[in-house]
Amino acid sequence: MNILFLISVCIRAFALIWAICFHLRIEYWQVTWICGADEERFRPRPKSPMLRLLGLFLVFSIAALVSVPGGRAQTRSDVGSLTAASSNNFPPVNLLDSEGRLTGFGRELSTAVIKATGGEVSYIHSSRWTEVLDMLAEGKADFIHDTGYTPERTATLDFSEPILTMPERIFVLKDRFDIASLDSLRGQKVACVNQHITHLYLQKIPRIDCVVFATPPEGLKALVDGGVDAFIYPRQIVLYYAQKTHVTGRIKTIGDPVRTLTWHMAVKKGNHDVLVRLNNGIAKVKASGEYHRIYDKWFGKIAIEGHIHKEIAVTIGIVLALGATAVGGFVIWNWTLRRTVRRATGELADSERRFHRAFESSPTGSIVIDDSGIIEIFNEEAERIFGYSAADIVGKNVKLLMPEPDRSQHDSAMQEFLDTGEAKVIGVEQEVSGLRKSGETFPLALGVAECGYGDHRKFIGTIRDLTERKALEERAEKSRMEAVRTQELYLRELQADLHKFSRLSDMGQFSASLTHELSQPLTAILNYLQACRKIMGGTESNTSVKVDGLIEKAVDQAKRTAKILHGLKDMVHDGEPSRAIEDVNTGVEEATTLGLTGLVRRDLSVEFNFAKKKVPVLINKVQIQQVVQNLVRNAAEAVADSKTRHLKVRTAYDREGMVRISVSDTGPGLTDEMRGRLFQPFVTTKRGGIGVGLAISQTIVEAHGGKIWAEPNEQGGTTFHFTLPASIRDEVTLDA
Amino acid sequence: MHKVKVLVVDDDKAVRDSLGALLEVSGFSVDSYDSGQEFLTHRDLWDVGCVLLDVNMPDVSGLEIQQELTKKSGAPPIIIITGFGDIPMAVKAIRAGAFDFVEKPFVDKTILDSINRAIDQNRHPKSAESSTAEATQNLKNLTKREREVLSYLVEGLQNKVIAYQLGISPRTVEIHRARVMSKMQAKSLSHLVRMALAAGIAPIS
Ligand SMILES: Nc1ncnc2c1ncn2[C@@H]1O[C@H](COP(=O)(O)OP(=O)(O)OP(=O)(O)O)[C@@H](O)[C@H]1O
Ligand SMILES: [Mg+2]
Repeated sequence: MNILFLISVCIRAFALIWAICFHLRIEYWQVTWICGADEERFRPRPKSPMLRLLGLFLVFSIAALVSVPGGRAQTRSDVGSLTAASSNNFPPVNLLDSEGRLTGFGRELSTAVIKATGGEVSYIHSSRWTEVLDMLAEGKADFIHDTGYTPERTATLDFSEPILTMPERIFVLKDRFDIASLDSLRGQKVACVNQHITHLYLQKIPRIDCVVFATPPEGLKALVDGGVDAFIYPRQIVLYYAQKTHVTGRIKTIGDPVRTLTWHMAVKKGNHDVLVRLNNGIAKVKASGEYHRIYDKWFGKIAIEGHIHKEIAVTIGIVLALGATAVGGFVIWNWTLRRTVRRATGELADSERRFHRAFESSPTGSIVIDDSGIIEIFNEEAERIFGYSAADIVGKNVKLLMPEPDRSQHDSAMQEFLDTGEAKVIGVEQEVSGLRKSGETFPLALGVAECGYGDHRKFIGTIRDLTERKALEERAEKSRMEAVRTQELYLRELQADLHKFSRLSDMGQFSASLTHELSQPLTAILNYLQACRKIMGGTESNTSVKVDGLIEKAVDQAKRTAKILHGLKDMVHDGEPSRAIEDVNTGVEEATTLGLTGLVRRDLSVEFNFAKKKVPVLINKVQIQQVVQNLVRNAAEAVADSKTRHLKVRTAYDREGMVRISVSDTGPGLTDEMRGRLFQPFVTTKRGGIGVGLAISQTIVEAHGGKIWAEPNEQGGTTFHFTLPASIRDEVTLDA
Repeated sequence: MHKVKVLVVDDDKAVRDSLGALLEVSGFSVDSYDSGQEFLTHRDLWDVGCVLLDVNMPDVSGLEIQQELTKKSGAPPIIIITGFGDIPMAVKAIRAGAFDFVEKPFVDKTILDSINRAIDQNRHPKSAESSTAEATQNLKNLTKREREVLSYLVEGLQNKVIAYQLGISPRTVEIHRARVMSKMQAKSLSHLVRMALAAGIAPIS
């Protein structure tokens, strides 16, 4: 189904945007690391084709030169075991596991590297860096499996190809916006780890106030606790600890890396054989993808959430939630509507069946015709009187049953009635002539009643054969009374059902316009979000459109959907609303006050003119108050720009024993165009109006058996009236 | 690079604006109009790649604009945007010469694909005869029932209605419809309608 599809698209859009953000970031790191160079170099720079060719040529010639001794070296030293030395307190590169064994990125990588050259490694390690250097110097170890590069160290060590790059980053708390670079750290407190290469470097920069800690986690803790303003250290190490202590969400990196450090394996100066072997192994491990696996294992999950991304995520989340609510609301509404229609249709069919049965068994001849005179129902008694069978006569014109001159006058008489509403036959029983199938003319008593609604106008004729009058008189008198009563009952029921039916077909119309009304903002939301996705996916960079603006617009549209649904909530009623006897006057007064709250222009006067007595009516109070509120609010909105701003709210019994509630205003009155469409849903002339106020009011009032209408006032302005059936008839008519 | 110009005619501000944003970030340049009248009186069409037209507008209906447009020579292809479920209207538009229709609310891929196909088709028109010949050929593979279903589809009837007319179940209509689509090698309902019309299948009515 389409709506489900929509939701899934929203969710997919959401997931995709995230996947793209996430993916991009990970990839960026990996490439930086593998390149073994500073972050700058990773960005592709345009090169001229000539330069590229030259570069290629150079690479090939060097490779050719190097490959000769390299090849020999391989046969000499690519076998046998080696011993690696390392520190054991530099996680996640080197650390001790719970049983005191060396583990970490460094160990795993060097194992793989040596294995790739066909040998094995054993490890010795120490928590002190100077001891590690000694191990190598004394020949206890063949190589150190990871060390940061500094120019000083080249005096005693030969370095392999890089195995890691670690940018030294400036970490600050997430809500710090005053620090943008190393320069802005002047006079601020910066955490450093004692004698670490970063510390040594920073010491040389004047006016940076280094606060020294023994280990990285202490530096990080000081940052999070606010003891220092920044912490500068290799990024991966900080993130590793941040993740362990669950503070990734509170810190961020700013500015460019201070430096980008590279990490290498190292041998004692001059140990060419082992160095070549290490380089071979490193190349193989990088080429085989093993490197990626090990890298991902130790660094891949480290993530620091970008500030802006998080906000976008939250916003999109809200938009989607609103959208989903909107769609969900619509689905539920649709479902309830369908249920109501189904039930009403069922009831209608049912009552039609009962109606038929009553007709058939009636002792009076009964005929139902439509508004063009075509016979629809012809009961048994009618068959007996006229001599036609129902099968013969149904679908033919009722004129067949009349002798001249009635026959030829019937069409025009009926037309006249339909045009003018003035009837000669309706309501009173008359004596007329009938024509039997046999051709015999006979006197009959005819009563005609109208039933139906709107386009479904129907007429019921009851017929008594007067030739039989005397014979039947006694029996007829009695049974007729009864028949008329039951018929009246069923008639009323039928009428109510037809009425309901025609309202429901209005609802079909309504449902269509609602679908349209909702699909507009949904389309817009989808478009905006998809545009965001495109921008964030970076497929189109040279655009001036900003994600923030689009998201804001999407949110507005989601609000528009929510507003529509909110307006509709009141129409979604299933089953009998609970009704109770309430005093109209109190209800109306309360509702008027409610309707006037929250208006922009409140300087208007209201005059109440209530029926003297209490007016008890069987209503759903909340609904009726809603009607009053709608009318009062419309009236107040209508007078907003008028010179006099005066409302009159009245309650009174009218002549038919109905209670009438009226709201008058001194506004500009109704335009001709609006007059005919007042009660149609989604018709509005107001900015920000939805146009459902009156539509809802009509539904409610009619459900209570009343009517609602508008008329112009003599002195200008408009009065809206609605009626409700009074539960106790008051003999006194208080107001005309 | 030169961007292809796409026109958007829709009376709903939000739809217009959001569609503009989507198309712009997708690499088109966009002009939008809030009414058919304004669009018809103020716009030359020589630099336009295609036109997106909402059928459901108050002053001049989308169909009328379309008729006006197709009168002009060198008119760009028109893609009709219809309300949700308004297939009869969409089919009417296709019959009147629209390139495609897209139902609101739509996903970006649907509309972008359609636009790209429209622009492509406009630049490298497949000769009318060859596509007609193809369609006629494919038509021969349809069974009688499938042809019937096709002619109802061309009329823009929904599955339910077709089922009622033919006295079969909607599920069966769906099956026939899927077969018709695959036998005719139609990419979409609008494509199917265009082919059927080219091959001389008239709507039932
Ligand atoms: N008292 C009044 N005087 C003049 N015009 C009115 C009055 N009441 C209603 N109207 C007209 O009828 C229209 C429909 O009214 P309705 O209450 O149904 O919707 P709305 O007030 O526009 O929006 P909302 O759904 O927010 O109530 C209004 O937009 C206005 O043009
Ligand atoms: Mg209102």
